[in-house]
Amino acid sequence: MKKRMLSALSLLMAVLMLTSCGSSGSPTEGEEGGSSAGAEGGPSKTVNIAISENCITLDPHNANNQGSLIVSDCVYEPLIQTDNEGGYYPWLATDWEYDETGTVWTFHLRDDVRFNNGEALTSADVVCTYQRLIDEYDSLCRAVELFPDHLLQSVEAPDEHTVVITLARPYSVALFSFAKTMIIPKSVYEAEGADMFYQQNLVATGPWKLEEWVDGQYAHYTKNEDYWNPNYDSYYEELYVRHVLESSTAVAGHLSGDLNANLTTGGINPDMLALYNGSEDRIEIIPVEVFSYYYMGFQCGEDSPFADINVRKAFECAIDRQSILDSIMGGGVVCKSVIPKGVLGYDENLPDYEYDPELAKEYLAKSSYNGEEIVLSSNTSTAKAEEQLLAISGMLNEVGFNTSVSIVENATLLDMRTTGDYDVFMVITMHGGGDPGSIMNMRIVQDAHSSDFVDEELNNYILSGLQTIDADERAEYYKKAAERLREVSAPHTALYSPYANYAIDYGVVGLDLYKDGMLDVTFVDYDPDATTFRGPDYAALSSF
Amino acid sequence: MLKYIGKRLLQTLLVLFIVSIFAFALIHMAGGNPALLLLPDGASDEAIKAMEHELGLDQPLYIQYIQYMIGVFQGDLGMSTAYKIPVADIIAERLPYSIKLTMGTVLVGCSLCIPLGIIAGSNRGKPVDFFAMFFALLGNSMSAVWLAVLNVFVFSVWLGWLPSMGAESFSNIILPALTLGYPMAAEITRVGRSGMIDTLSEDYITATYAKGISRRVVNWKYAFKNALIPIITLVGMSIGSYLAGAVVVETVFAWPGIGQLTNQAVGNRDYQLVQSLLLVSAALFTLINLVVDIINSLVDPRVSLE
Repeated sequence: MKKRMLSALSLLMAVLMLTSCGSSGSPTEGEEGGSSAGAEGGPSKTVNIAISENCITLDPHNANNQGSLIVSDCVYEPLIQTDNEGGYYPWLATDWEYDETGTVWTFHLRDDVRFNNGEALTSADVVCTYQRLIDEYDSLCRAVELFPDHLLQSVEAPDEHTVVITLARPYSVALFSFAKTMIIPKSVYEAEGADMFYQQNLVATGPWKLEEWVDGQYAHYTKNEDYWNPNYDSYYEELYVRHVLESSTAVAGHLSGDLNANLTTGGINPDMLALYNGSEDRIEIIPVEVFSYYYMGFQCGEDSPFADINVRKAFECAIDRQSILDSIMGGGVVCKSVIPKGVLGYDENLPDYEYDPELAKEYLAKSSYNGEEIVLSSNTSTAKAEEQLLAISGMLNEVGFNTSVSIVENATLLDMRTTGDYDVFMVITMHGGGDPGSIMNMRIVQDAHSSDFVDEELNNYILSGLQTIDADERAEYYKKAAERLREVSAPHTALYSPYANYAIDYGVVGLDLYKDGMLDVTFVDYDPDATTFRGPDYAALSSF
Repeated sequence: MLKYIGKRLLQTLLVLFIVSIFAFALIHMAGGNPALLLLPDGASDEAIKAMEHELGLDQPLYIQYIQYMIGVFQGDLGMSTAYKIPVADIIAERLPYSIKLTMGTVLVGCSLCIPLGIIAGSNRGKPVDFFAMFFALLGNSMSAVWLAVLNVFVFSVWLGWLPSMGAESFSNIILPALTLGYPMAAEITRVGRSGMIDTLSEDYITATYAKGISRRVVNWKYAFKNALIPIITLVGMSIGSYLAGAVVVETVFAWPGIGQLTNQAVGNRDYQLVQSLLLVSAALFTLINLVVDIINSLVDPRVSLE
């Protein structure tokens, strides 16, 4: 009898220990993160959004992956807002101007903004933010990405609501950089330093307050009831950003109702979309024509076959981009150059890449190529890398190349590209904010991937564009750069921009599915009358 | 017993020392510069060198290893290169989830299948035996990925009974525990059955029947104890591997345990984290083995610890 009692007690204890797993915000539990009805009889006041990347850091100045940026962007705000397509709107700053050199930028701050700890936003906070980027340039990812080559020179505050930022040289995408620099509070940063992020003490001005970030699981926010902007008052009281790394799990979670949106980086795998069949009454699939594009980079060093332009031309002509796009990538747009459709400098008149195996053979015949093996490399993070490269390899071998495929870890490919130890690599990239200047500068002029290809004419076009503030003039330089790149067929050859498909519940609006491939969930809202998804209207949000 | 435990702990230290060398060597042989992962694309050579210096990557390998081991003995597993916080803190946050999942899995595996294996073994050739063997064959044949996805679509999408992901409430653990627990249950059934068959053919069992003791008492009082030993070993080994991380199941169910963390750390080339995860996993595994040996000796006095 005693033994039975003991067994029963052991079982009970085991169950109790399991039930002690906690109870915060389970997606299926109505009150916390689930599907309970709102107070007015509408859907739940909690919205669950899946993203496919984990958050690594809450430091908005040191985030180097999309998962971290999405999480911190919900609470922190910049001086100006952008739609990532070249539109800029007043936000923490009411207006701004720059001097005739394009290097001195003056911002006038709103006087009614408060951090979620009650402190007012002043120019001291902006100075603290930008000074941090200057002082810790080498250790902050965003400092290097947004203000390369020590672009930020100084930041000053002539008065409580004015900030003057001086750049080392004119920078065409400076507005985009300002729009992506999140303002942190001076008082908290001075007291705690970077520990404020590690301790999850995110004092910020944004519409959401971080309640908790659980590594590998979710970021849980509650509505900032004292948010300064009256144009945004979300229906939702709570927001969960869930890190769901496995795509089939995200789809299943969405179908089962645990999630309201499935925002997989780069879009949901086309093979998975069929699983949504039958859920059309609740879930909308949104195809976004993104700026991101696949391209291949050539090693053009002296000993490489790609030092010969005929080999590069043969390579370009041998690839049937459209068929790969249709059969493997699930649709999209074939690129004309490394400046895809929608990006500043896109040239409609540029001829398409020609798929002509016979011409490829002719180029190859007059080249110095002797049949040496060429390895096509990509990394495990690139969607369908192996399928794409196998298809490309088959096409190349058909015309006389001797190619093989190698898929390596992300870090290994980074290493290969830094040292130049590759024949050809393929990755996907995008032009942040719709301006190709910084990517082209980094990857072509600065030769970040050690391709050993130098073309002064090409470099001059890119650098001139980068230093031109006027958008139309800048676009002309970029067009010439794209045209020149097509002429020399190096160091890159562009492939295609596949559609990015996202799945969102009807009624859930305000998520920003940027065309540059980035995502932002800050302005999520619910509209019962919405018959189709719509993103945030920044013009309306910033009309004060 | 204490002498034995002390000896085994020393052996454990030796195993961990060897594991640490292997982990260190494997991670560094895999290639890729973690400094590049922490810096933006196109970072200057100076910035790369500064980051390599900060991470200690500019030191010879043996110096890096010695520095790491000195830290380990001081309870410092180093800083995660990706998270930029102490590795020990990250593991401490994730380990409880792996423990919970392991407990759930063991509960699923043992609660049904120890009795099933024993009943099957004592009813050899009867319908219950065929059922148990079919159950075991099915469990051993299914891959974890397939079973995980099947469970999600059946119980979450079609029936809507259980959440498909997360780790916040009791209901979240059911599907991953079922997914991990079923193959374990199948193995327990198989081992329990064969253990029971072996035990029931022993002379002392025949003797108990001859004394007129009932079949039920013979099965559960005399045979069960001996059949339990291989099951304890099996469960112990399984606990060790689940604590070390069930990578596939944790990834599919977005369960934030050691397995998911290991997967991410390898992808991020987070040297310090991967090394420490391997070390912690090995430590858990060897300690569980020690516990299993002790339990076996308590259950069966014939098993001598000396």
